[in-house]
Amino acid sequence: MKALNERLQKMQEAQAARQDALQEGRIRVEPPKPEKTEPAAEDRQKKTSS
Amino acid sequence: MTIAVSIITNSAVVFAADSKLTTRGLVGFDNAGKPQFLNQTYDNATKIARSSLGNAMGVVAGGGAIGPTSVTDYIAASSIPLPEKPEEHAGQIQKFAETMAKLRADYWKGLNVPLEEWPATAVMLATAPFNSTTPRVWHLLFAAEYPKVQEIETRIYLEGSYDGAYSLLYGYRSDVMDALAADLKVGETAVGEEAVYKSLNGAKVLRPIDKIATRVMPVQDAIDLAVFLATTQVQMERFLPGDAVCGGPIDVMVLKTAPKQEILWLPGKEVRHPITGKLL
Repeated sequence: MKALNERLQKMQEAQAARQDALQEGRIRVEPPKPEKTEPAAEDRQKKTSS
Repeated sequence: MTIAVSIITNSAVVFAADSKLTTRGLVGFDNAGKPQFLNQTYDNATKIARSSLGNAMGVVAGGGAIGPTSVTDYIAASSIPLPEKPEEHAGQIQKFAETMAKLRADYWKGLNVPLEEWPATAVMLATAPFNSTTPRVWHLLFAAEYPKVQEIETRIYLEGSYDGAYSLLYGYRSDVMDALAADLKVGETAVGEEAVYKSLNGAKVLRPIDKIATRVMPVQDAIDLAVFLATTQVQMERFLPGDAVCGGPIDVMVLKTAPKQEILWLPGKEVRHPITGKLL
């Protein structure tokens, strides 16, 4: 547990710098996709019939 | 162990913590003179406390005691005066941590317990600001004889046992990533953890934690988020095999600076008589 937390703690500490880098454009990302999406009707139908 | 959550907004810090407290009690020494410990847990512990001056609050994870006293009692009895200059703040927190570390060291040295046997304790301390409305949060680690102190600038920060909540925020579990790092090879050589975690830190995909904007989050929503993360960890441990190290109600404390500076205490439990159920 201790070793696991040390790794995660370092990643958490690095997150502040990552957040800054994202906001300043030093890390370029794809446009974010919407989090909540409805599956298309066709996909829903396939799922139901399978 | 504990799940402790810190959320920093522009005008507040929210701490949330579960109520399971694990302490290691010294029960004696074996024939070779080696100290013997037993774990003891309680499900009604309070791990968050405000300082006596009301301008700071702390939450403890790991060992709940600092030498002979509980960390929450220590914080509640402490005054953390504000220095005149903001740049002196870090030094003052360092001194505060060193005083705690000395108390811890004197206690265990007095019992002739070797350093590697001393229980480790982590404290997150939120302090009122000087020239802004944003409070500051400090991480005090008591693992070695001398404390390690650093400021927490990450807006959502977890301490204690938090792999379940972490995986929701960051999108991966470290045991899975470690296995991936060992399995992915260039030729016959594993790429290793450093390369994998470096890649994760520079990932061009936005993880949930990259998208949660806590700066402008209202205090109520920050409280809801902190309790959600703590509850998630508690429930994951509940449903996974093995002894749960987090549990019990989630307590919340808030250090807010606007419209006025105050500390709000929002306990998840009440002290009741065990038979009559009456509130004390």
